[in-house]
Amino acid sequence: MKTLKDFTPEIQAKIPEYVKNYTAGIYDGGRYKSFELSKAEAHVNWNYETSGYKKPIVIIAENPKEMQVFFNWIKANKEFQLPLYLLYAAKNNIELPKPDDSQLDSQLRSQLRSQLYSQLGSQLGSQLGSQLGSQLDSQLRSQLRSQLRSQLRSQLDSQLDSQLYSQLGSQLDSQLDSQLGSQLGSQLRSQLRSQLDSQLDSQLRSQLYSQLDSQLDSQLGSQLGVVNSYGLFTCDIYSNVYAAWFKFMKDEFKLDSKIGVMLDQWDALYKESDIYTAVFSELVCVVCKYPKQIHVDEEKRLHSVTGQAVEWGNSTELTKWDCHYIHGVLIEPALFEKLSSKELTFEDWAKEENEEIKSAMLAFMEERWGAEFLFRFISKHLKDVNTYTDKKDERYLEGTTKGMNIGVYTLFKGRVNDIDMAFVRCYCPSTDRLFFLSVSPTNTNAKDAIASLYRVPSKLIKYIKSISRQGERYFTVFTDEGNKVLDNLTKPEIEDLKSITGKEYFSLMTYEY
Amino acid sequence: MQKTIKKVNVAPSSTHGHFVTGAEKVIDLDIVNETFRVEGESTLTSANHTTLKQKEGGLITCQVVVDPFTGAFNKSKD
Repeated sequence: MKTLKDFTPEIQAKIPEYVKNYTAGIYDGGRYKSFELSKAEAHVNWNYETSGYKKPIVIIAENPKEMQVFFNWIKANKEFQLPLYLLYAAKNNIELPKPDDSQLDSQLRSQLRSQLYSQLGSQLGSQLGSQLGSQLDSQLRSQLRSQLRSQLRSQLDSQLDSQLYSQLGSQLDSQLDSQLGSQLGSQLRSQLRSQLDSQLDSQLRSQLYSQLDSQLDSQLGSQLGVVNSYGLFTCDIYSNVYAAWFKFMKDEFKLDSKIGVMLDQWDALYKESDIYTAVFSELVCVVCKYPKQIHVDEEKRLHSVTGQAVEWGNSTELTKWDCHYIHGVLIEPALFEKLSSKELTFEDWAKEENEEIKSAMLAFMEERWGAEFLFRFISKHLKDVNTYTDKKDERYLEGTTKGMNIGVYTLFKGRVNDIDMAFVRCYCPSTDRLFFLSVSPTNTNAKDAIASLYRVPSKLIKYIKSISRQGERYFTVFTDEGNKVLDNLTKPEIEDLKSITGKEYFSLMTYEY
Repeated sequence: MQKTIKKVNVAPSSTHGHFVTGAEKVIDLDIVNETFRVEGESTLTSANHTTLKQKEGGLITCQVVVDPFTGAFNKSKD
């Protein structure tokens, strides 16, 4: 068992090397440029063969949206599946079926009866492979309106994942992870894994996946817009985190394990493959390349005010995937265009309901066009009325930026299209992002205005012990007596939310993140 | 020993969510206003903000902003 004593300064000093090594080529497009089909195929084949499956046909996609569209398109076009199957058979030395071969399903068999022998000579092997590439673009477009007729084959991600986990993952856990003492494990996680997690998982994996999931169906409809499950722990951007973690343990703590050879093999194959992620089925594996370039801010959030934050390739116009982000906030292409052309009006901005997007618009203007531009955009319509500064006790600043803007609130008021408006300006203590939150124009000072954003059931107001805030969510703690009142509140009483005065609010406020 | 709940999203209308972990119980009191009661110690996490640790239970409510064009009070969205 390795313990903290084994975590020498020399070993600790190697952590940045691992982070650098396992993120190399992701942001600067290095992995995109070095992508080679043969290396991607070698890794895909390893995954399939390790799981007891034959080698699939590997198709390359330039971005995750394209990957999904290609896979859906293949599923939807039965005519295309026959040549794919023939290629698959040739690749795996499968004896080609006779017309009465019972291994084939009836649909495939009926096509084979008429087409097999005439097509065989011309469509097998590499010739078919090259046709596949050249046909895909034009066929994709021409077939967009065609109906989904059948499924390709069931997807394999769950089967492959469970096979690979039993062959590799569980043994890595038991042979490597379990050899770390709990303190060492926890320290190593905070120093190595959390860095990779925050870079590769929270932004480049989860956030982009969430964008894809939310956009695909609405953009492409129920046929091509189906989001098939994707990624394996051995074949996905997140594999960098796992591989770094296990390699660090094995190589730096010199852990002796039988699984070490397999780990080294997987690690080398994945690194060489330059695969961002993939969709898996028995017949076909659609692999997605890494982006051409990724732009981030100082906190490694996806960010660019001059173009796409994530620059993906695309093979067709249909499969172009826009990824505009401002400090990690997704911005739709139309809005980005409006911001870039200075066509965004104050009214457009005020109408936006999402405070994160509103804040991102202001950040864009300030960064792209300068502080003076932002000042004019606001001051043309709103005048600074009053400022309140809440100087916080040092203990409540832990976890914040500790910047000068924390606790500074300014009330702005104005009239737009004959409508009175009021906004309170504040800064996020966690990120220092600027927010203008809309409040009632009846407010006369910043202190009450910021407090008016807080709501709590009116019957509980006199029992408040403390208030904390995390973005748009407040956490209110009540006295024991207050908790008893809360136990017995009726539904209408819970729904009867009221604000408190600025004086009450700031006397009760503790942590604000 | 009191069992703890794994993870509950107390900001269902939020793009990325705010999640309570480690609490004994999280009760959805008002689905419209997104008011949740949290029992026991808990941790509140979200993608864009520092993690908030709470030693006592309490009530989670949503920030309310005014629609500048209609004057209506709305849940703040992030």
